[in-house]
Amino acid sequence: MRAARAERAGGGVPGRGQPRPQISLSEGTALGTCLAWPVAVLYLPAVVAAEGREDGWLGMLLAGLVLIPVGLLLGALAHRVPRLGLVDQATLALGKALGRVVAAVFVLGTSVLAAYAVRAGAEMVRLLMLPRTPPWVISLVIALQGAVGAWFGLEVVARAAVMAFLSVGALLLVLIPGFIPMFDARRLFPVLSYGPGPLLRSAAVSAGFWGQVVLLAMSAESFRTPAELRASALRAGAASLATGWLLFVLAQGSAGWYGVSEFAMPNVEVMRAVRFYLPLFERVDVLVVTGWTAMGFVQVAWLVWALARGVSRLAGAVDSRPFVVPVAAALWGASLVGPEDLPGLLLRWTRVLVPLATGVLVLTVAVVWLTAAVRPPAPPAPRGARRDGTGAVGQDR
Amino acid sequence: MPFRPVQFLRRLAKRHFTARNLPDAGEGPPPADRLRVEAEGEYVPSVIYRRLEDNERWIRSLLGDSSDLVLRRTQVLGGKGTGPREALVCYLEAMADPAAVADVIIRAVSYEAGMLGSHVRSAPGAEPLLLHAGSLRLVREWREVLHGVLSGDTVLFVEGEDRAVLCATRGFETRSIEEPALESTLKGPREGFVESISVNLSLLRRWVKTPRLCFHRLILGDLVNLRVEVAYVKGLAGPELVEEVLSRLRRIKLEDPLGSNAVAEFISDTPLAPVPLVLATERPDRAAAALTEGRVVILVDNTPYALIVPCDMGMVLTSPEDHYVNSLFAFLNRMLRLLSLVITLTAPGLYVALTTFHAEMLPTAFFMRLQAAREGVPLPSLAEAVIMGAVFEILREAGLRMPRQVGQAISVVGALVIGDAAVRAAIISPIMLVVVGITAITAFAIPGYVALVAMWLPRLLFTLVAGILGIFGMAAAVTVGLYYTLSLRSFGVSYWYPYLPLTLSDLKDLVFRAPHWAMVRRPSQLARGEPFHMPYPQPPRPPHPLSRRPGRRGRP
Repeated sequence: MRAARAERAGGGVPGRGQPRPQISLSEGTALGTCLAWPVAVLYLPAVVAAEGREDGWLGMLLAGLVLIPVGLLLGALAHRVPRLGLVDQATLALGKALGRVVAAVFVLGTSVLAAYAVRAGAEMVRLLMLPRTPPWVISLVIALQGAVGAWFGLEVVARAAVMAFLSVGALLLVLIPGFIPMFDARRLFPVLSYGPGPLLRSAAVSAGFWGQVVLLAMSAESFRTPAELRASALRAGAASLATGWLLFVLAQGSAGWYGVSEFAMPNVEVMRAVRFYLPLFERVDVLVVTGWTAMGFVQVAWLVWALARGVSRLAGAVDSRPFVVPVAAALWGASLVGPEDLPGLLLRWTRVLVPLATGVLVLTVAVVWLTAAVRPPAPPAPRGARRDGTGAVGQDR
Repeated sequence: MPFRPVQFLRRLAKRHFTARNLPDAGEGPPPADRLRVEAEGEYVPSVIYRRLEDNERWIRSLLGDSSDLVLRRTQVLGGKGTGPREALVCYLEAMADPAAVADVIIRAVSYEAGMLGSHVRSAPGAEPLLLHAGSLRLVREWREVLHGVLSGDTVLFVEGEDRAVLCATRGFETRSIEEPALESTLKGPREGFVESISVNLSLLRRWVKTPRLCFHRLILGDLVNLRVEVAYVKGLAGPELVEEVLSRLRRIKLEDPLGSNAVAEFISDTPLAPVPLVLATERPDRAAAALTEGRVVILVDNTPYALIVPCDMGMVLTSPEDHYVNSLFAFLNRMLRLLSLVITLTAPGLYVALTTFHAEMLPTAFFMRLQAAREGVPLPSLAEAVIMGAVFEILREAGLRMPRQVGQAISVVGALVIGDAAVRAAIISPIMLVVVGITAITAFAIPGYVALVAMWLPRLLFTLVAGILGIFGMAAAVTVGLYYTLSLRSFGVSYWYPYLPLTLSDLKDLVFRAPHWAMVRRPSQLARGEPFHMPYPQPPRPPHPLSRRPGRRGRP
């Protein structure tokens, strides 16, 4: 284990040939958490409360069940077609033409989620921090930093994710006790008073966010074993769900489901009412949002990397770096498309588009896995061998 | 084969910018057919001549008939049954110790050799004649002869021999060992490296008394013949690491009299990185500690610094003092240093962001006070911060370059004239002075001058971005800086190691400073062959107060 860690740190492998990027279990967990959590924890509560009323917190918990099949699916696919990312897995399992079509669908779904993440982050920053700054400026900054992170590669983004994960975790530990004086458990009940409909609707919306761990399939080649990929997905999903659910419960217990559904970002609004421990700051929400923003930055960087990687593999290129800047620019442009107001964004994108895109992604992975399970593909050519479109990927950046 | 634009551009740049036909760095004696020195239009062999006249003519032409070149003819005894043989003693007056030359070489050759009688066999072995010399060796190559003479050694040519005797008579003046100027400690040793590489080697040997300590000598550049010694402990430093260091050093084509910083720039993974990827230290104890961790130390002649590779962030943020104080205090000091790092990087930017964009975060009374202090100041916060930051950096730089007496005057001018007068004239606010002062003090808490200087660029960038986009902009800039530093490697080792990827066992001497008896393991990324400092933790076991025999625990 120590030798493996040292290998990953580069010890004993100095100089010219950089080692193949590898991400560990903890880094994979942090990456998976960064995939949906930063946006979900801000925007999801309002939609879940509106859909689920008092049952929203149960619906969110129920949605966590989707994580188990998604994690298992990722592990199973990586087991069937090891050491490859999703695009190559699809090409290998489904054939060159059909595989590329399926992979393109996956990349398209990823781009939708990425554009949403950029736009949602920009709206949040505009609302809470820079009300007079045009959203396109904020989106541009978010996309630019994502391009920088993606340029440096997956390892860098994964390590930044660990740092963001730990920082936000520490922030939550400090903040959550502040909610408790306002919390009233009676606001969580009664449950199922409107039948199972609200519960299922809120669960469906939540599943659309938590299921985004399926995006880890794009970096499947960087995990040491399929088991680590599976474990990373499951742990990331559990961490996201646990913290997101806890914050939702505290928000609903503090403001009631109606109050939560009325705000665009209920957790932040409730936090504004928290009396901080020291009278140093009047408002702590800007600090908290800064922490979340840092995690959102890592999320966007990862998404830019995944998109650049997907596009480069679709184009048959080994190095994804030349695609980073165009992808980031396209992402920035796509983030400007859509509703111009925050309620519109919540209504259409958060409630409909994100669950739809996540569903397509999961379906795509399931199709690839099913095909690979029914008709096991030939093992990929060893690294460095001449590629014929279905071979191994080369050095990844 | 797919087109790879990045690799293509790299190849193109390498092809375009690589100088060709330069000689490689020498390592020990070069192959005989490699050295071809052109003089007066004729090529000569690399080995020395048998005829004394040829050697004399050749060394005169090689050294340009320099005025400090001393060539003295003498005689030595030949082999059994042969008469005395002509010999030539050659040294540079400016570099050799005249007393050593006179007492050891000339006397030994001219008089004592004669007195020793016929049992002395020599000339191919002229060594017995020169037993008084401290160190001598036989050489064949002109390159070795030249390097020895230029370093202060004396060479003895003997008629009819194609070998010469090189005697160590170096006697040029060097600075004595003094306390390190930039890495001084209160309780640690007061010795620092000096300009003489021989003295520095001895300093390292005194700390690491093991036969496994190896020095690998390299001579860089045909013009300056810069001597470089690569030190490592065999079995601790990974062979790949040692080989990588040597190969990077061998690639250097150095033709200027530069010091260790130039060498560091040549071998660094990212030469333009604002953070040190090759650590320069002036403390032998620190270099020795690095050796025992499995790192490699590079000593460069004429430079009072040793270079340590690989260098990670933990090394930059730790001070040698930490190992000479109680582990608890060392831990607290490290925490203070980390806090100082955060403050010095972000304080001006946070001030600008809070006063410009996020004033609602501050308590009302504090905000009103702040606004009152800024009343009448014509400049925006951003301009204030940038100007005062620049003034501070200029004062720091001026204070370093000035003699001490003038340096005090600069401090007075900086504090009174610029600070007090600027506030009185309402050019800047007093709060800004406080912020700049805190920034400066916290910057000085970070060990290492290079790290101190490296701070101001990111600080300026953070301040500028904070003035444009507030805390959001700062967060973006910090994240980009994080990406950049996370991408850095020093000889293959991640710059953030062991923080990221997180290795808890290696944090014992980075975030914390565990007691020495608890630091069982060496850094796992380096000394993989021998991962343990000691076989097991050895906490002190004081005798129990009720025990009868000292040293035994438990009740009697």
